[in-house]
Amino acid sequence: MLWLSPLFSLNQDEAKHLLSRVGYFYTIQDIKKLEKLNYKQAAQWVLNKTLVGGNDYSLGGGFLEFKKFRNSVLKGMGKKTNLDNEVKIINQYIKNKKLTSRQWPQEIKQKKKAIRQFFNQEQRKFRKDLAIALLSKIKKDPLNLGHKMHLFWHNHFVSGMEKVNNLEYIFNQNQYLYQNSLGNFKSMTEYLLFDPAMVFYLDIHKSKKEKPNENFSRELLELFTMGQGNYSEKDIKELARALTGIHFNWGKGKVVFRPNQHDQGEKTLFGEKGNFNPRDVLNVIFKQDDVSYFIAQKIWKHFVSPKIDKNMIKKMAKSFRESSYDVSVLMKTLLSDKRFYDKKYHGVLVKSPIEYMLQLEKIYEYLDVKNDNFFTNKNIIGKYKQLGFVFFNPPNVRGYQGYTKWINTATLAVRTRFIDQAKKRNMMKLNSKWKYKQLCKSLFDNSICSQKKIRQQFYMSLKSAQFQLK
Amino acid sequence: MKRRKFLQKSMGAAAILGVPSCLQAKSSIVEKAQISGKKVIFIRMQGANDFLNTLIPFADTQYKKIRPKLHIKNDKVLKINEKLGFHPSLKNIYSLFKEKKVGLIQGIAMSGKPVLSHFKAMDIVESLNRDLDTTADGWLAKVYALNNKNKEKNIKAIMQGFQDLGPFEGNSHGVMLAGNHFTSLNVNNKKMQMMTNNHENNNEALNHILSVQETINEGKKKLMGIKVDMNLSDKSLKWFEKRIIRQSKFTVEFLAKNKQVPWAFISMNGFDTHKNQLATHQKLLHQFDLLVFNLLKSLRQKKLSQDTIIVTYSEFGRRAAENASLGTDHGTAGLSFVVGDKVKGGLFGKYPSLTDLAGQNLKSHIYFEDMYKTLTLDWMGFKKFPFKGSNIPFI
Repeated sequence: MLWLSPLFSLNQDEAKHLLSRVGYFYTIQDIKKLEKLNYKQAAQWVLNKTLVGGNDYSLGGGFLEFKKFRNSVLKGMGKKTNLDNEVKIINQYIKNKKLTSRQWPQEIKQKKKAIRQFFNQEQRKFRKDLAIALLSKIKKDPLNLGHKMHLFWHNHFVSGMEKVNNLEYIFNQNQYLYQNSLGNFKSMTEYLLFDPAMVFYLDIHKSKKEKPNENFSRELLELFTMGQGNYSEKDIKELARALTGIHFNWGKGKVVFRPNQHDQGEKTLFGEKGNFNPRDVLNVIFKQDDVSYFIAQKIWKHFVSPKIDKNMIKKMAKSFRESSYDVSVLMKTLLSDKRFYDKKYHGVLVKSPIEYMLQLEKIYEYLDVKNDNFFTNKNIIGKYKQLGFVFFNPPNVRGYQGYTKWINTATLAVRTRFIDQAKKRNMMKLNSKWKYKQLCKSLFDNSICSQKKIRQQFYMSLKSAQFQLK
Repeated sequence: MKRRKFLQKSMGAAAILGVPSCLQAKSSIVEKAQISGKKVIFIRMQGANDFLNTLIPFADTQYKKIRPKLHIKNDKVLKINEKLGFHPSLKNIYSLFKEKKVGLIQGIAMSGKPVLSHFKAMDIVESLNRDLDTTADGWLAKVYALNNKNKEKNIKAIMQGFQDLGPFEGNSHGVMLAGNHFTSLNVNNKKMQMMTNNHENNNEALNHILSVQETINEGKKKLMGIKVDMNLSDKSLKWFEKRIIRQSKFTVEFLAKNKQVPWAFISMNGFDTHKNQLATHQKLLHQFDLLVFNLLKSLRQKKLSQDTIIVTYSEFGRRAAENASLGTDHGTAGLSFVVGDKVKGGLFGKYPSLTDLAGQNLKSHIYFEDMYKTLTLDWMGFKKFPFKGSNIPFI
């Protein structure tokens, strides 16, 4: 394949463009590899990389132990610690006296509160572990498109820890989204309809036959599948009726469908009539072309530019529909089209906090700058918070708006400050100029990298507006 | 108004009149900003505050019918006349109302067809733009543009707890977004490097970053010397009380130090009470009451209370009837407070009927345009306002 004429292969800028949009960090070697490929081959090269690296976020034994412990305590059957026994006694006491929560004695209330606080504390600890696991997974395999897609879907099907307040559910949801990030979008939507984290986040289980919860049906259409303006208020009301009956079985810890709580009547959705249940309505929704347009447009904005190319969206939406909503087909259509590589789209998107931080970390790693574990210590969650990103807890159901919204006076000041803070204790090592030059060339415009004081020039470039862009 | 006009006019004659040079510098900034020296502090109640349980129609029998579980008990209501009263959490606002320092804009909503999604509704309330597909400029950005003030690079507003620029969307170089705790804008930051002098380009993201950089450099100067004087280890205060006092003091201190910054915004979250509303709403209104009280207290201490008013807004109100989960769903008409020593207190607009509903929602007769117009023209002294609206006589 390498005999192809260079006329049809990517130039250096196009290679950088592709790498910075699908990955978190790349080297000059990656650029060189891509320079030998044409657009189609480059797209395939990217998709092949998603197969490497395994599917699980390894969280270590700590989290599993906590899960077990939590479940046993919650059932009031644990025997391991004093706390377990106390919970057991408290639960027994409440059960025997048949007290409602308002009638609990002060002492019981306080103990319950203490236990809750303990859980929350433990949960916060493991939430950190989960975030660190996610970051280190990306670091090991920075060009795996799967990571970017996972975070894309995480920001699409938003569920936040603050509301869900159960790390296990959040973990499971993210594990699923990661494993299926390039899979089938329709199955993904169906899975999330019965996903505990999503159910709790949007109060789906609170929807009653008599008074259906419109909140969830609105989000399902507006944010997950069709986009604002492509449905009527009537559709929302009918959809809400069709979605009744989804409940949470506390004993099994599972989301279940209860037919007797479901509105069995006839509904009209997008002109179609039927006794739709939650799975049926997805079939109706996914018959609408708007779904493929909505997702294609969101992908375009996320990976290419805020400015829409209508013909390209049409092409992407068509391939998406025709593949029955296969995300990898959608991505392949995008990445193998020459319009993706157009120069007018280079450097027009803003790096997300994760992209920014991981790139900075990789740069310092490459340059051997001692950073006192600036990027890996326990404070890492707090650092991301200052950049406007909270792990597993997007600001609202719409998710992060990204793009220029990442940059405001507060976050930009922090971004710049981190460049100095990370290398403060041990100033820049006098690496060979060659190393700086290599790095400079892979990140910035070649004209910057040929100057004499390459080291100073390089750090200055890190603080430039251009480094915020991708 | 008069004081500013004097300053403006005296500008040219400054040297003759012998105005000290430091004042000269200041008055030139005042002229540049073209504002009256008046200020507004906005409190955004995000998530949609429940109107019916904030200003309660306790005498209306329909109220208890549609809110069988969620109504506030008659004897708890802080009554302001024979029909209406405040939620019991609003103790300070209640006494300010009796002193005629609180205006209540009853049933305020977006004009036109209601939108019930939080984000779109907030976009509309903050931009007054109904074209749902585009991200539009905020209404204040448009006010500045119409009055030919949008090119000015000086800081016009400070915003706390905002993820975006709200009413200033589209005017990023004019706004300082401070995180919740103001720690991120560290004055010791080294000056930002700018690699390009080329501001004339089509790259929207690059232009945004460059102008934010400029704002940071200017903002650093403005933040210098601002100290919040309070005892953080005071055990008699709860954590949220400390946060509110700190937030109020900082905001007012900042406005006092920077005379030419007219707008401040504080965002409060959590008003989306779909379930178990009673307890949540009580807590939130208590915090809101404290915030208003502390802001006014600090304004008075800094002698700014004659020049500043506090205004609240929410993306919409909540459904008239309660839902099955002891909460309320998204609705339409809401309530705005205007508070200050210069405010003409009282009730504005008509309290929406609880029986004559639009679907399940309250009908409104007064709109955000009206409130914004009054603030822009009558209070701030701008010459033009870009939207249609009628004056509300709270000033």
